[in-house]
Amino acid sequence: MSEPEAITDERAAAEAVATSMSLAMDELRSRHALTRSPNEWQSLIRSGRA
Amino acid sequence: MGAVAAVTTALELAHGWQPSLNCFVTIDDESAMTRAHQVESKFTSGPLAGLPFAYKDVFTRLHRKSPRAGTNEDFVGSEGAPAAVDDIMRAAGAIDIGSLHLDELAYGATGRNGILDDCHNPWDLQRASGGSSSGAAAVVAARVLPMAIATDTGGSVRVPAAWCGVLGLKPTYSAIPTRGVVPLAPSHDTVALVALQAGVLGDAYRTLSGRPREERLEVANFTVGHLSGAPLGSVDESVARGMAIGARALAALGANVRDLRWPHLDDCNVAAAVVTATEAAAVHGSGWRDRPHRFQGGTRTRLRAGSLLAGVDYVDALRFRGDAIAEALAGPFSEADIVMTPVAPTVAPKLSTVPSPDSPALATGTGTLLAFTRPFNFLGFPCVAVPVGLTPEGLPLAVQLIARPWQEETLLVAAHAMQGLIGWDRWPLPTPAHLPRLEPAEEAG
Repeated sequence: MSEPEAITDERAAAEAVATSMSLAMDELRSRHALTRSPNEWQSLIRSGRA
Repeated sequence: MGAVAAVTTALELAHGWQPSLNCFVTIDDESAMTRAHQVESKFTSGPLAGLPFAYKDVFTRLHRKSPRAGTNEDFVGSEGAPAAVDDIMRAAGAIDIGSLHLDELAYGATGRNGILDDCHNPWDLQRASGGSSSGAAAVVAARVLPMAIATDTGGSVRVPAAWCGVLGLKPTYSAIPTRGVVPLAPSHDTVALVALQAGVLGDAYRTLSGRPREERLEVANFTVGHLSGAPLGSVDESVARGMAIGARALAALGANVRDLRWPHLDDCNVAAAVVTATEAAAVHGSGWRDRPHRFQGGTRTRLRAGSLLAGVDYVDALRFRGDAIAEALAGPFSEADIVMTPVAPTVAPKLSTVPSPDSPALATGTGTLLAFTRPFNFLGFPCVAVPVGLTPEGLPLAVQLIARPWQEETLLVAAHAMQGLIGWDRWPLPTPAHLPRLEPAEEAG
């Protein structure tokens, strides 16, 4: 396979991977309310308490 | 054994195994011997004094070559200073003899690397070692070194430890400092340890984390939740058999073993994949964009995929992270001191069946391979991969034990008791004909 073909394949594969991850996040959002701040995980690990 | 004798033996074994395993990037004979003489002449004491070990090639080490992280490029830390871990290990009198093989950028789980060539599994040289800490697991499994220091961002210590039949500890997120380590995904990156024996693993963990030994823990007082239900649908028969052996071993040691369900574990893997991909693309973005030809196709594909993700997906993954940690503490870990899961869904595969690291296809199969490990980088909980048996083909089987944050001592006590019962450190490793057959080492602590 020539280099441009390989790069095209990689771009297509990367787009497929990113789309698949994004769709999986859509499904996750449909199952969870996501009420916490994006930083809260750090203090939860530090304290080890819910 | 004194430091000079221990390092001399380790170097001989390292050179003997290297042609078969390709587990080292560098073997630093001269500096290791110099250091061994220094340690011996200063009468340095402590549990790690004189202990030979090696680093996955992502750590900046004093007076050694810069790490290359499995790539074609040197990674020099912003201050060029040694890793925090290197400072601690040198003060403890441990002696590093070289740097170890890994998947490119530590972004992989198979031990295949077209730049370094593949690392091989000492139990079957045609099989994958696992990765990304491929060299760390292979070198300890081959009894070249009693321990190795590596990193784990999604299973990078636990998967190769499981496939190579050794212990792999991923501590609580931030328990061991990451300064001076080439990053992959900083909010998942964890300095992690591989060892053959639980005593050595515990000594190294306590030295590096500065946390004390917990004296009063006993396996007989532990409740162990044996993961059951949907997530196990993806594992092969031998891995399921390993889980049954692990449960029987813990029950035989007096633990109360019960089935446990974890409904949203798969969602943790989904969100963890987004966090890893986004952070890796941000951290290594300039490298692969400016010099794409210097990276393998699989790595480029992963980094490109991460750069395409929406910011809202990354932030929502982090918002879910808090929910998932709280749910784990209030759910599974309100019932159990330890949760037991598989490590990987299969035993070590043949190298010929693992996609080439240059192939974009490598970017699509990692989610399944890391389904049981990456969720716990996302949650930040400590885990240890523990060998439990060999398949009829002589391949290692393992289970993963997980505890609440900062409860590494619970895992170490369980691993120590399981080692006494199962005795993986005495399993006869097939040894290449040109090397002496080794007697099992004495337990060091």
